Amino acid sequence: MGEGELPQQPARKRISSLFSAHLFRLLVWTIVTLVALSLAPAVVELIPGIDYSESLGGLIMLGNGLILLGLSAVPLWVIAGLLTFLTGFEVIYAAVESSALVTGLLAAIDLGLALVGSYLVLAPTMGEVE
Amino acid sequence: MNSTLVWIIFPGIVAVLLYIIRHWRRWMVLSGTGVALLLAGLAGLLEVDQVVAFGPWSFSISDTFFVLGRRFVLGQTHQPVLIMMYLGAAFWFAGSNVAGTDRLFIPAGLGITVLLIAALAVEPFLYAALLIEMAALVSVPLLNTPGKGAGRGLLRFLTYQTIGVPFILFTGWTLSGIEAGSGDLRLVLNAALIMALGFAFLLAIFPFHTWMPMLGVEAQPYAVAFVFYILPLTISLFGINFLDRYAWLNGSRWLYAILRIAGVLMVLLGGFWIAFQNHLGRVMGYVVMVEIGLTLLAISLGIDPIDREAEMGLFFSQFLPRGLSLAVLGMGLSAIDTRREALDYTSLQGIGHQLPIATGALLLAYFSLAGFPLLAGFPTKIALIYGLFGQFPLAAMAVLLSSVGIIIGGLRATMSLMVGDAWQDWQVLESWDERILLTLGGIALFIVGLFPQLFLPSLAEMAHIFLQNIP
Repeated sequence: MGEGELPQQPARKRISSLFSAHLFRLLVWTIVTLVALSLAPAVVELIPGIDYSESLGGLIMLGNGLILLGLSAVPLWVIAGLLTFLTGFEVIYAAVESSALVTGLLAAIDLGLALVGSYLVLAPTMGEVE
Repeated sequence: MNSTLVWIIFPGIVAVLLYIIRHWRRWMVLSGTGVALLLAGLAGLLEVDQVVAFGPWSFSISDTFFVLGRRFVLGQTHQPVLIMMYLGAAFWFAGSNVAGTDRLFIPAGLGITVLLIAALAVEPFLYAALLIEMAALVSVPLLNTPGKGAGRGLLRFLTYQTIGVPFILFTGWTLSGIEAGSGDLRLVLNAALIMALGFAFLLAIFPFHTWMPMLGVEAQPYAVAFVFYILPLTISLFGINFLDRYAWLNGSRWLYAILRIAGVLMVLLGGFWIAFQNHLGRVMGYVVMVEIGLTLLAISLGIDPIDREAEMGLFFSQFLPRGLSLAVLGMGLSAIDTRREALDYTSLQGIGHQLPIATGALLLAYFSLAGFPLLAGFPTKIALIYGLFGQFPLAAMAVLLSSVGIIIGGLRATMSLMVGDAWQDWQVLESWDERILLTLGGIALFIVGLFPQLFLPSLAEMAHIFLQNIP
C-alpha cells in the first residue's frame, strides 16, 4: 500500500478518518497562523525596513512550509514544503538584502528545488539514468 | 586570464560536457579524472597574481572575478585547497566505474566540487550557504537510485540543507549589525544562536545527523561516501572562515566550549550507536558522524591564539586519511552491494569467503577510520587525543570511549562477514579492476599510516596558508 492511500475500510469510517485528518491540518494551520500573528510585530521591530504585511506574509509562508515538511514524507509535498519555506524566507530577507547576486542565487535554488522535485517524482518510473 | 575562469567556470563547463557524453562511460571517466588532475596540477604550478612566462608568451592570472556587483576571489591562499579538492575529486572519479556508480556520478561530482570551490571563493563569504545548497541539490541524482522512490534519508538531507541556508544568511545580516557597532548583547546572542542552528543543520550536528545513517542504507555506497567526504570538508572550511572573520566570535570561550560539547556528543553517540548496528551502510553513516565530531574537536583546540595555526594544522591533516579511508570503504561496500541485495549482517554472513579482497579492504578502511595503529587514520587521531588531553582531558576520554564503540562495531562486522552458517570454500569473485583498486587502496592505507611524515606536514602547512587569507 503506497503512502497517502487509505486502507480498505467501510466508506463511513473512511470519511470519518479523512475528516479527522483535515480537521487536524486545519488546527495546525490555525496554530501556525496565530504564532505568525504574534511574531510579526517582533520581526518588524527587529528588522528595519520591513513592514507588517511583509512580516506576517513571510512568517505564514514559513510556517506553512514547516507544516508541509512535518506532515508528509511524499517527495512532492516535501519539495512543495521546502519551496514554501524558502519563499517565506525570501519575503522577509528581501527587506534586508538587495544584492542582485543573492536574488539570482535564491532564484536558482528555487528552480533547482523544483527540478529536483520533478526528478524525485519521476525517479521510481526510471531505469538507469539515460 | 582569471583564477575563477580556470578553477570554477572551465570545470563547470566540463561538467556539462561530461553529462552530454555520459553514455561513453570509459571516456567520461578518463576525461573527468584527467580534467580534475589537470586542475590540481595547475593549482600547484601556476601562481595567481604573478606573471607566468610560457615560452615566448607571458600572462598573469588575476584573483578576482566580479559578478553582479559581488566578487569571487581565488588567490594564492586558496591554491592548497584547490589542489586538495581537485586531487580528491580525481581520486574518486578514477574509481567510479569500478565501484559501479551511476553515469551521472562524474558530471554531478565535478559540478558539486565546482560549486563548493565557488562557495569558498565568494565574497561576501556568507553567500557560500547558497552555493552549498546548490551543491546539495546537484548531489540528489547521486544519492537516489533510479527505479526506486526517494528515501526518507535523502528527503531529510535535502530538508536540513535547505533549512540551514536562511539561518546562515540571517547570521550575516545580524553580524553586520554587530560590526556596525550597535554592541547590543541581545543581538550578539541572537547571532550566535542563529549561527549555531545554521551550522547544526548544514554540518549534520546532533540532533540533525539522522539523515547520514539513513542515506547509508538507501543510496549507492561509493556515491554516499563521496558526499560524506566533500560536503563536511567544505562546510567546516566555511565554518573556519566564519570564526576567523569576526574577532568577537573568535575570542569567545563560550563558542569553543559549545564546539567541544557538540564534538563530544557526536563522537560519543556515534561510537555508541555503531556498536549496535546490523547494517554496513548505517555503520558508515555513524562513522562519518564520529568524524564530524572529531573535526569539531580539532577546531575547538584552536582556542589559544598563539598555538592556533599548529592546532588548525591538525584539522587540515585529517582530510587525507579520512578521504582515503572513505573511498576504500565506499568501494569495498559497492563491490559487495552489487552482489548482494542488502548490506545487513544477516545477508552478508560469510561473504568474506567469496569476496575476500573487498571484505579485507573495507575492514581495513573501517579500522583506519576507527584510528587503529599502522593505518592511515591513526597518526591524526592519536595527535588529536594527545592535544585534547593537554587542554580538555574529558573530551579526550570521550574520543577513546567512542573508539571502543567503533572497534566493537568493527569486530561484530568482521564476525558477520567472515563467519557463515556453513564452512564455505574460499573464492575470489571480485573483477580484476576491483582487485587492483582495492588492493592499492589497502596498501595506501598502510603507507599513510606507516609514513605520515611524508604526507601530513604539507597538509598541516595548509592551515598557515589558508588562515593568511583571513583579514
